[in-house]
Amino acid sequence: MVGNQNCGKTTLFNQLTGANQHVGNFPGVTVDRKDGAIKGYPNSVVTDLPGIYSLSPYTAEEVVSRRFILEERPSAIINIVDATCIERNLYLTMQLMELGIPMVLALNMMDEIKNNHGSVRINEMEALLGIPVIPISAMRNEGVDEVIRHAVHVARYQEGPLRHDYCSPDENGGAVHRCLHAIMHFIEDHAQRAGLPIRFAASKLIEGDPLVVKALSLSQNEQETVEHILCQMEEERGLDRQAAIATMRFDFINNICSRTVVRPGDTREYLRSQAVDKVLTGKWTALPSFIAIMAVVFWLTFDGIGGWLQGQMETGVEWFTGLTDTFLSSINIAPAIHSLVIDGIYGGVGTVIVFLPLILLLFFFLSMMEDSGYMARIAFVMDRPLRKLGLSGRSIVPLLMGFGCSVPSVMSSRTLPSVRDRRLTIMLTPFMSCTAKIPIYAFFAAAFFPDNAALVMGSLYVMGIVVGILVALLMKHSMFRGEAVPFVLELPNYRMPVPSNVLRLLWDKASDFLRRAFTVIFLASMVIWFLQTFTFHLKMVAPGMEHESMLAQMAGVLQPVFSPLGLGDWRIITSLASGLLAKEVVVSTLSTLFAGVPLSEVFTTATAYAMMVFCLLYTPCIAAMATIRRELGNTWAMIILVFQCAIAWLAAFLVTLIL
Amino acid sequence: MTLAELKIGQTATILSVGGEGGLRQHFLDMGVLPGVPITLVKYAPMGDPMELRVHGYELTLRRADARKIEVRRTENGKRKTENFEENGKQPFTFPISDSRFPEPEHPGLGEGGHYHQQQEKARRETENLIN
Repeated sequence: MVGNQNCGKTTLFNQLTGANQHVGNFPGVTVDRKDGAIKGYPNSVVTDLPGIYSLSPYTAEEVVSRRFILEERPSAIINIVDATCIERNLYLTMQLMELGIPMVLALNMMDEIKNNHGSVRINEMEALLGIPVIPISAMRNEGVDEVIRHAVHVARYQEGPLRHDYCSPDENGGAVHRCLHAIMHFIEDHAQRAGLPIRFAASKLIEGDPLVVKALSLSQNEQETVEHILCQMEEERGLDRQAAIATMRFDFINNICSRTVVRPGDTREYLRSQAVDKVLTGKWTALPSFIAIMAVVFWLTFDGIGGWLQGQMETGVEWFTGLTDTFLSSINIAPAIHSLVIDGIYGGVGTVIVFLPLILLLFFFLSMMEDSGYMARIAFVMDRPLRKLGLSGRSIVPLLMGFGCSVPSVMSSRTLPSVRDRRLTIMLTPFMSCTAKIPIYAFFAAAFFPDNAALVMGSLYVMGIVVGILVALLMKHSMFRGEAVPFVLELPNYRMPVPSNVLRLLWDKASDFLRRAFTVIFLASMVIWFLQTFTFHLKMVAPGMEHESMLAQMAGVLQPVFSPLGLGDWRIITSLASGLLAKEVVVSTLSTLFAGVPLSEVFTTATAYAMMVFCLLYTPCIAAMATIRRELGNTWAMIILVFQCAIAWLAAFLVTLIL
Repeated sequence: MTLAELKIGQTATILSVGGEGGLRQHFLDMGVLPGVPITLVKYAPMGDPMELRVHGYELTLRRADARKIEVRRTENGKRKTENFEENGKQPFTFPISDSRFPEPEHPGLGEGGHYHQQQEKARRETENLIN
């Protein structure tokens, strides 16, 4: 499946496969390819590729799409075209047709066209393009079966496009046509050897695409001949080569559209978007509304709805623990197992699981912002301020998603077109406090700051942002000199998020969280309980002699590092170390280790705050580190790992000095 | 004049697209081409980047890049749009009764479109020949 960014590919993919893919209304949500089988055709594989505007790749994710099409040679292409913006979308179609791979064209958002009194003569367009054209509405699941039938048909019988050639001898004197065909014949043998479709190779050679130029490996003499042909064409056409090719494609598209498309005036969706944008991107209202929206989101998550839901969960978990406790006592089970279940497993997993509602709510709001199209506006509004930090407006998306979870956030940084921007953005992402850290803050806030819990939580989020800004400024003047890349972004019309898409995302996140709770956190809780209950001689620790346990002995090694922060207690060090598995584990470990012991024995309010600050800033969890390594390589992952620990230590140290 | 000198609401025709390499190709691929009309919709709150309307969609880019794009003002700056619900006129659609352009049904359309008819016809002709 190939198409422009934000044309509904992933929505159609969900309809085709019934899979759980995340769909958003921000250009570039799909950052890696996703595979699935078509409903009713279990032997088929359909691949959802990142959106591209052209086969000349501009960002890293666009490279994924192009490489897939050229190297894996799919047996057919489903080209999705946003009918509300048909010219720009057909530009990609032109280039796909050059490849000679069987394809069908799915004309999406036809409902929007029809509702606004527009129309497309499908049969005529089919004849002109030489490929099946199917009007659909992916959102409403209309025409999807037809896309499947046609796609399977052209793939099975290998019916290629009937037309590869759309330059015309009478278009603007025919200079481009003559040039293109001359070069096609001239490089035919090279293209065959390189395994590239001839027409595609010729037009990319004219555009000067470095990858194609290299693959063709023309001799010096041949290169010069091509250059001569091109110079002649540029002179006759009066345009440079890239513009001449692009104009030729758009001329053909305009020709087709003038014969087949009745364009609606300004669609209702467009006018609505403009009205909403008067406020949301207006000169004086944009920043206040951004701050207001974020404030409402956080308030609803942590206080409004989230707080209430969390209370319900707590009551439930307590009731269940009490039930098990009575049951275990009544059957006179061995004290070691009783302690394992109640202190180890329930204490660990139970403490974390009550935060599920908060985490889901935050993801819900973030996905609403993305699906509705507001995220693209935030990038538009925040470009100027972010440029002062050496970033571009596009970086705001990974950063905001960082408040949800660092893993998808780091992956979404692929939409940034330069390596420099990506490194810097990924480096800052972990400072945006992720949902997994919420349990930590809530745990300490409830114990030490019961009266101003909200204030403490807020201060931590703000501190994360402030540290991020400081680090960005530092980097801008040291490691990451230079300008952020140009900012070119499409602003899609606002759309109502599709409930099923949002529900799918929430289900994904919930099952992901629960899986983690019952694997990583569950195991970590048991291991911690074991290490803490037994000495190195495998004897159960006697009451009052806890410092002899295996855990205490091991954690003692790190004591000199954490003592200056007031966090030198072995139990605290262990919880921080186990937090590398997943941040929620910090809390589960603490509650396992401090079962029956008041926290105030080792924490003062100052050290509790220092602890939260350290947790906010230190190295992200294993999953996030693995993603960072995949995106940036070993060296950068190591740099980030060490760097974050250092920053966290410094910040926590400053806190202990001040408080 | 360049695109950056345009005032809000004004429409101009692109004369040439400057710059080089990947970014220029990206502009061309997004439909920012010589001869194409482009409208300045608004500026972001801090005066940069700018929101433009081209080929019926909204594109944002920075002023620094807009300075590389040469344009010429077109006469009527504002596009006229018709609101069919207010003025009571009927929007133009293809006459359904015209046998030359039958209004295709949807969904179920594309099936039986020219494409497969032609394929089928070719196959039948070949079969006839063989027989």
